[in-house]
Amino acid sequence: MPGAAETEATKDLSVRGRAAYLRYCSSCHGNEAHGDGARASGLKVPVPDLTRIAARNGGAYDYDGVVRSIMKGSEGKGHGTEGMPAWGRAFSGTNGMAAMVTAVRDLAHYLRSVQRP
Amino acid sequence: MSDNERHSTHCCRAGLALALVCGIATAVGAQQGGNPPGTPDAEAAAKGKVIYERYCAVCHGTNGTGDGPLASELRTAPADLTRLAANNGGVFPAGAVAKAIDGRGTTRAHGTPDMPAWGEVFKRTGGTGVSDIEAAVVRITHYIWSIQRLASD
Repeated sequence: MPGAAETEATKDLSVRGRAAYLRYCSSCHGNEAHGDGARASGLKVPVPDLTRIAARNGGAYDYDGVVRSIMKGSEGKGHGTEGMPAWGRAFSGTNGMAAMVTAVRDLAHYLRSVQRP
Repeated sequence: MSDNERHSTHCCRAGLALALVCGIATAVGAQQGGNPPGTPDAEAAAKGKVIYERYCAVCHGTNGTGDGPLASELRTAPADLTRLAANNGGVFPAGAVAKAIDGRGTTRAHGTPDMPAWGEVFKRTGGTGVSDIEAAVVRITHYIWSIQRLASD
């Protein structure tokens, strides 16, 4: 799976991703990514447990799919403003394209590191 | 600041940018070392692969063919980096590639919606495993050079 393997080049990215996760994601998805953030109960849509992304996919962590999900959010899926924001747009709007690329990449590496069976 | 001062600052910056770009082009050539002319340096390419995987693969793809996970989300499709030589009469345009990666001293000095000026990013954040930006850019260039495919492939 392209981009899925943890390599020497990317091993520290999950640490960077943890910082970005706490900043942007934890309020809904929870500090440990179980989908139990402080704001989760107030949302009309269920907030997924992000430690089970691989488990829900037969054990394989789809790095590319996670990158796209973070980038796109779920606003296009009919949840209106209740769904997950399109973070790619949010990141690039604040700090430019490089910030978007690195933040999305780091988050997808971090989430791989928290997968459980 | 007087107009004169402003002008001289501007010229100084432009000169610096030009020197930088020339420096990169020279460095790309110089790192060939004992390799046959016109071939990438294997050691630089191996090191460049690491940086490539960190910064480039998410858009340009693990294999450099322009099919990274972010590719479909971008307005401008990322280039197939394995065809740069094929699209340039069989000659890998090393200097132009280094300049494009760095992005500083060009009209897209701060990056564009198409591609960030990575020289700016490396300057701010480090994370390439080398102390200077030019070395990082040169290594990435050699790696991209090493993955060129023939036009017939």
